[in-house]
Amino acid sequence: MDQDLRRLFERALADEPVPPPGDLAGAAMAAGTRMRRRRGLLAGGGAAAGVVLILAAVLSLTRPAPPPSAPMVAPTPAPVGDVCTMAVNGAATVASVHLREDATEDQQAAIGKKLRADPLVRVVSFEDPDRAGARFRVPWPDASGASPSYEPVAPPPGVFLAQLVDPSQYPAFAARFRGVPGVERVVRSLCPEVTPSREHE
Amino acid sequence: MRPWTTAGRRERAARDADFTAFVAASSPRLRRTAYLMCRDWHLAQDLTQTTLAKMYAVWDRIRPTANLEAYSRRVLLNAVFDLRKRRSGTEVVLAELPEPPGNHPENDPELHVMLMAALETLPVRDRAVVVLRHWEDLSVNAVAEILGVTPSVVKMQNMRALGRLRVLLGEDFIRS
Repeated sequence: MDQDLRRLFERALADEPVPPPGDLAGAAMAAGTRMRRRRGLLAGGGAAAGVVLILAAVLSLTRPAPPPSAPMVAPTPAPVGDVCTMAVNGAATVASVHLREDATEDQQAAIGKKLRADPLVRVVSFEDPDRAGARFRVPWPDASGASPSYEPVAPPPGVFLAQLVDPSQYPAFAARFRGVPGVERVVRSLCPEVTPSREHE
Repeated sequence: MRPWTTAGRRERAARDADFTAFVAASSPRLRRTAYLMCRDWHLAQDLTQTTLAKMYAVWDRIRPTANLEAYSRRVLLNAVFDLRKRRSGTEVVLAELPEPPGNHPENDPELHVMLMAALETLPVRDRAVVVLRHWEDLSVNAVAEILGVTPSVVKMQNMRALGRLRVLLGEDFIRS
């Protein structure tokens, strides 16, 4: 039956159209570079910094996370959005929990649940890249400026924004979330209208 | 390797050349596997492009890996599974199973159409097992590796899927 299946598959593939024009490799490289940039893996030290971040992620999965040190590459700052408008005290610390590119919906739901249940968290919001609906094609011009017929589809991964009750507890909070499946990284920000106090390095 | 030095630029160019060669070699097969999973050439092209972009994003890390082909299948299939999840239960491509072969003997040449429709009715992971085993001709172990399950799960899903196909496609399927 194996031979029969294979023949049937080949017949099913017989109407394959000519691949669309445009540079598939080039478009993939451009889109892939955009993904790396979003994860903060691009800057002077490029690949080396990427390896450090990946190692740090692996290490945090296998033993308690060490206290957060300054990252070698500054990640793209997370949008703090309306989590900050709900600040009650003066100094409001927002932790952004960035999801991995390959995080599943179950992992995302579990992370949201864990955040809402965490005693350190006052408010949680979620920046959902899919909010615009099933946005299937993102226009991506190729090197000559013309748009190819087919464009990359990957939306950016989502970000959870959590306002913390006690900013001095951030290291413990980050340690709790760094190893969670689906989490790419945890970054600390300050709400824009607040002057940094000395506990935020 | 600092990217702005001459050595860094050469290194990056070599890396990109490797990737371009990989794309040329693997994209036709990736696209066909994607098509067999979703029955839409347009979508298959998009999935292929997404897969390649994701691989480029970690190209430095995976490039020394022995089995980039297997890795590419894993990324592709995760993209397919993810697509279905995002649409929460609605079919990516609606599948209407045509009449069983017994009713329309003149439709035997269309058996492959019925196979594709029948595949659509399977759970997506069972479909992946059938495509990887019987189109890509991968071993049970290779399929297990790609899907992140044990070989016995692969065997069970394969048997279940083929059994279902037999039921849906009727006697003609076995005979042809």
